[in-house]
Amino acid sequence: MAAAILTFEPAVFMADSRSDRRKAPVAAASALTSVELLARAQSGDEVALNELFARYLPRLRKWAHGRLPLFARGGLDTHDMVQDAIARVVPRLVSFEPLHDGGFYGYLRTTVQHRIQDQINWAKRRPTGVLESDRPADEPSPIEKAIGVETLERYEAALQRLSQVDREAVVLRIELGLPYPEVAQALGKPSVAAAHVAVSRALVKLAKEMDLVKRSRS
Amino acid sequence: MSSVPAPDPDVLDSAAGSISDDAPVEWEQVAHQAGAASDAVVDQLRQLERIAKFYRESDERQAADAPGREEEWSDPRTWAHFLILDRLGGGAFGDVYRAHDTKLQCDIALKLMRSDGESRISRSRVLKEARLLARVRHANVVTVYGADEVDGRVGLWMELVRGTTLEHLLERQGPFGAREASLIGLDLCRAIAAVHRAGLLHGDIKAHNVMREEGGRTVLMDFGAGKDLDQDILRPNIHGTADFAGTPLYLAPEVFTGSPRTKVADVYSLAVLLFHLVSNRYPVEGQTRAAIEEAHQHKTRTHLRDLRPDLPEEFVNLVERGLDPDPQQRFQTAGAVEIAFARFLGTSSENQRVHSLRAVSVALAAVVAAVIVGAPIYWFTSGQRIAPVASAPVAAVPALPATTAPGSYSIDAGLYRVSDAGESKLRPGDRVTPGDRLALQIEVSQPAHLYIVNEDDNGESYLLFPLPNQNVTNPIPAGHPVRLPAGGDTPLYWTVTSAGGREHFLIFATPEPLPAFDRMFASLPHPQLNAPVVASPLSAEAVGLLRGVGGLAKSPRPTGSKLAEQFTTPLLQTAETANGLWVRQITLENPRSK
Repeated sequence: MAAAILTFEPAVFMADSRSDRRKAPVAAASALTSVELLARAQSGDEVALNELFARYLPRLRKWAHGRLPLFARGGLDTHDMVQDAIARVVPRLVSFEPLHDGGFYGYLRTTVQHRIQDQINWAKRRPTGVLESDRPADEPSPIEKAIGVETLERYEAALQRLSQVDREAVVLRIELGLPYPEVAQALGKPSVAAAHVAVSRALVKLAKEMDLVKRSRS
Repeated sequence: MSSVPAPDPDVLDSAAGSISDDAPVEWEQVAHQAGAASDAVVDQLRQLERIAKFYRESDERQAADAPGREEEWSDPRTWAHFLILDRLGGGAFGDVYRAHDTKLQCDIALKLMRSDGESRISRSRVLKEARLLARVRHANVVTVYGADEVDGRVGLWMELVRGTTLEHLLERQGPFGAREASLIGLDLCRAIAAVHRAGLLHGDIKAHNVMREEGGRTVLMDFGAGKDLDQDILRPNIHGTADFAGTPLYLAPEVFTGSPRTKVADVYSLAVLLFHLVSNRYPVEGQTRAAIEEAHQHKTRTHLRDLRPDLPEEFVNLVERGLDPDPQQRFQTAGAVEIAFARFLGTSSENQRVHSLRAVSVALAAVVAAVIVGAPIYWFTSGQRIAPVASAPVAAVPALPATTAPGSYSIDAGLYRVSDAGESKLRPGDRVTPGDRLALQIEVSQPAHLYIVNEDDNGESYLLFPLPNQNVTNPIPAGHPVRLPAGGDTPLYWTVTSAGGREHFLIFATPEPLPAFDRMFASLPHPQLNAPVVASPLSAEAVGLLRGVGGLAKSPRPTGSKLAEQFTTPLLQTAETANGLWVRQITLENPRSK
């Protein structure tokens, strides 16, 4: 509970987008694409900024869930990680230029990923033998347990070798489980069928890259 | 006779599409159709199928763990008569929210048990926590207001503590100094004594469970592992096994061997906490609970002196005594530890005083040598009378609540601009100009020690209260408005005499006398009647002291520090309820005219 009481209110839009749902969302903002919302947010429109993060926070939390090993948590959970990452993004928002709707999510995801890695590194730097619970400090994260550390590293490495569009197709559909219409919108595809094809082909490319990574490491 | 199909280049896309659609894939058939050259890629696609499955199941797990988690924020979300505003965080047993009490019209912290498979355990834990906490009333212990079960969810509501945990402070700013840790220790001793006096053990004293509130109050939280002394202390665990509630790194060695917990086990945990604060380590470490227990058995531990050779001997001895493996050799009560800390701080503060005065006098000399023009505010007297305190505008000074919770007090302060036309209450950001006369009006529900500091944007500061030869001194009286500066028959003001930048007014109030504060603020320059005052920065040591007492949120600055950047909570326009040290700031714009 102690860590839970930690109050984090750097600004209204950063504190937690859920709190902003108490306000009726501006219809015009809800209907906008993420690129349009981002443009408005960059010009100082806080409603747009709120809407933008409200749109992405649940997905980011889903994505981050299970990526933080128990030993690295300290008093934090992935909700805190995501919120902290968002707080880091906001000051840099003005200089960000997305090519399409999925770009901003990719940017957020990368920031969250870095934040989680920072937390893991911090936890690893702590004196050996330090214990937060009775679990060993080198315990893998849930995803590492399920997939295997090597396979996961291969996946992450191969993902970075894909083009941005292919990478986002995989992340949006596989990691986030977005429905095809949203994938289509995010990738700028004209139809659900086109999004389906884009994801399928991106997966095949990813499998080929994973194989190449595997060969290069063997 | 079956024929061998020709390699199908689209079969991989089709398999990938099935992965994406969460449709079953006949991998043998895919491998067959894709041809041997694609075997390696097919293998990797199979791995991708596992990864996709993990993410899907992860979503499902989350949905199962927290039913309606996404929906719970479809606005407005309520529980009982509380409107949930923000999620502050989560623990193993539930989530904590900032919520608005629609009956009392105030924000509180609401801990809601998760509706998961462990609900019975969680309910029992939360209700137990509420029951225990309700028996303790102390400024350094979180105040619980109530607990209930509504629509199948158990909730506990308590005061909203705005601040950060000691563990986070440690992460952010690194190990504490002996003085700062001792001041925290002093507060915690009082908190723990209150807990023990109520017939309870805390059972989980650790850096994660202690909050440093904005303004500096130290607050002991989380009684989830707490025990009722009457019920638990005298009889062994009914299963004959060790009682492992609490965090192993903080557990006293005797608890591992199954001895019943006592107050002395809480004292041990407090000593571990202090050890941790000054070293970022633990005296007994291990990767598992069993390893820690083994380390205790073999008396394998780290001594504080080996980690921090720079710490004062008295402090090290104090912590080491609290960590003695033999419970009989430890301090037997929190009160005994408090006395030891008070003794240490008293000695240490005398030493610091010498340095502090020297630092300030050097700074003063430098300022005088530079022949700086008069500071913006004079200590000023005027033949003009202002309305006596009793006739101050009623609307501007809301009446204080008649009663407050035990350990807390009410305080209502306002900075006023006094002109020929009357008085106006200043708000943060208001503009002042040379010639403006200022006065502070304050009312407290119990006698309080007050310190008022004026600081400019350069960090130059001086003391506005308490000052010699005034009618009002510390502690200021309770129950009626007090006007400062207090000049008796001759009204006094703080007068703005020059322009430039901003003026920060820092107001510190505490119901308990703090000799260290008196010494520190006495070292500041202060205005003389009808004479310009030469300001100087608060010494680094004084800031260090404030950091310890006031709980600065930011990392310490390497040299010097501005109080206005450390204590940022603005002075409200209404009365407040405070516990312990109360610090507010009001910043006024004082721009140069163009």
